[in-house]
Amino acid sequence: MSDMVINNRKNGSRLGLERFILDIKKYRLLGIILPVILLIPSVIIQVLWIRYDKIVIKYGIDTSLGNGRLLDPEKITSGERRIIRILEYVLDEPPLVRGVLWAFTLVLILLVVCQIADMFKSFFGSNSALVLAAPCSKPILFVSKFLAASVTSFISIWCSQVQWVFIEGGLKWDGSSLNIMSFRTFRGIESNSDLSLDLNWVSVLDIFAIFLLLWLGVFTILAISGKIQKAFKTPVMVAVAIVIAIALSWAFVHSMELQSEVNTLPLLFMIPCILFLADILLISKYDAVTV
Amino acid sequence: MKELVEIKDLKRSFAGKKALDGMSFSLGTGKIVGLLGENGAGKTTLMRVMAGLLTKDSGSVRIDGEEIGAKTNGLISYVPDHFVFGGFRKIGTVVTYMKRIFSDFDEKKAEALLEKLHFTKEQKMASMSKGQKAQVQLVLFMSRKAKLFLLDEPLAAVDPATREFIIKTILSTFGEDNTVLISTHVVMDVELILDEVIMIKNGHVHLQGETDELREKYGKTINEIFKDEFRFVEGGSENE
Repeated sequence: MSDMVINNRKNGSRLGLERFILDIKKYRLLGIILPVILLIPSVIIQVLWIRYDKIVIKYGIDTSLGNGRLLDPEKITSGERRIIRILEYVLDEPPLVRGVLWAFTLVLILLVVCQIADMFKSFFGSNSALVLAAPCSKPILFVSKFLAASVTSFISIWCSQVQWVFIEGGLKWDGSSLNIMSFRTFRGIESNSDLSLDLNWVSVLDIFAIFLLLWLGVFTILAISGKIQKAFKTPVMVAVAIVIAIALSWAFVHSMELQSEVNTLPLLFMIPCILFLADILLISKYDAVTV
Repeated sequence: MKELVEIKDLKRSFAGKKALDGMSFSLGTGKIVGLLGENGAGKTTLMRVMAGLLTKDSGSVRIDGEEIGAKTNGLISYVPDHFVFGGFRKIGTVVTYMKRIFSDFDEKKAEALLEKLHFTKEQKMASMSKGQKAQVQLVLFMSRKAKLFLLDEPLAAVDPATREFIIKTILSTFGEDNTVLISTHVVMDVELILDEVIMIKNGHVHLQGETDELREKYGKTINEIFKDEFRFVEGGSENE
């Protein structure tokens, strides 16, 4: 049996990959499925905008006045009238938009809460003995969890950004091609119509890059402090590490606020902080967790 | 011949209190070994160090010639003294989880044993009694093709029927290529299956030997030897 035992061993990186897939599966509802589903209203609105633009071109409507509603009912079909009504009569922020924005905020908060809870459970909870006794080095275990949290967070952030752009702005059909407007109100009034917008890719990547840098920065501090704590094993070091973790997280959150970044971001930045604290707390129980 | 477990002068302390104080012993393969000792003797700390959960202060721990790490974790199946599969997970989910984490997990064996105990895949861990949880946990960890099984107090707080099942499961899993190390206070129930015992006291090995040899030497059962060695008197154990 011993040969079989040896041959059956998975190497650390493969196990790390499997753990990553498991974690992605764990977060798939909040991190992937729901954000994608929540994009549907934006897509529907864009389809309506394109159909509206075609109606505008067809009847030569002056959109700056938003007067599609003044058209002779005999000339247009009931479907076309319905689209005009939707886009020219609704409030600036209709319930659908408000609902979707709230839902997105809720999903992002839930995702962050779940990630924190999972980290606690894995490293601090009753099943940590199982998680940490896996034949996988602790850095690999840690990094696989970090990557799974990052991937799902990225997808959520990206979806919320895309949704925001498509709720605020919109596609415009000019008769031959599609353009992306930076702003279109729900009364059919356009703003900055000459300005094209690129789905805010840059801002999404900016946010995510900061998110990654923060994780890696805290990860490094965690590793160093873990080594120090193992060497000295004093409560003073634990206190110092907690202060560093809180100060670091606060500094990042504060710098984000100064840059007027997305509101949900501070929440995401709390993950490494909590994780760091969890790791410190684990010293008293399973200190081998510290990389 | 290379020993499966080689521990030399192992030390570990918690906030100044020595949990392991120069522990040394070695174990070969194909044995069921009892790790006996009073509360606070260092049994759980020793198992956690061997399982790679706790670090050592000094000394050496080698499993199959390797220092403790990810590689040795693949050789060890550690059954903790508490339930690790809590919450609303179903048995089927837990089996899948074990399969993913441990490549040496024998799914068929686990399923057969669970079926024998009338457990279904849909059954939730949260709805089980303490004894049932202990059975499921043991079945899952003993279904690994590990070289070393570390069982931390598997007989504590379970009824006699569950104890019997646990002992039967240990015997059915045990083979020539692996070793089972059981920490327990309930010596009487496991005595008959033990090949060797290690009695630990104050963080170091107090007594180690083959069960037959010890019985012959002392003219007593292992349970009686254990009671004599760890007899409590007011203010501490008699031997202190």
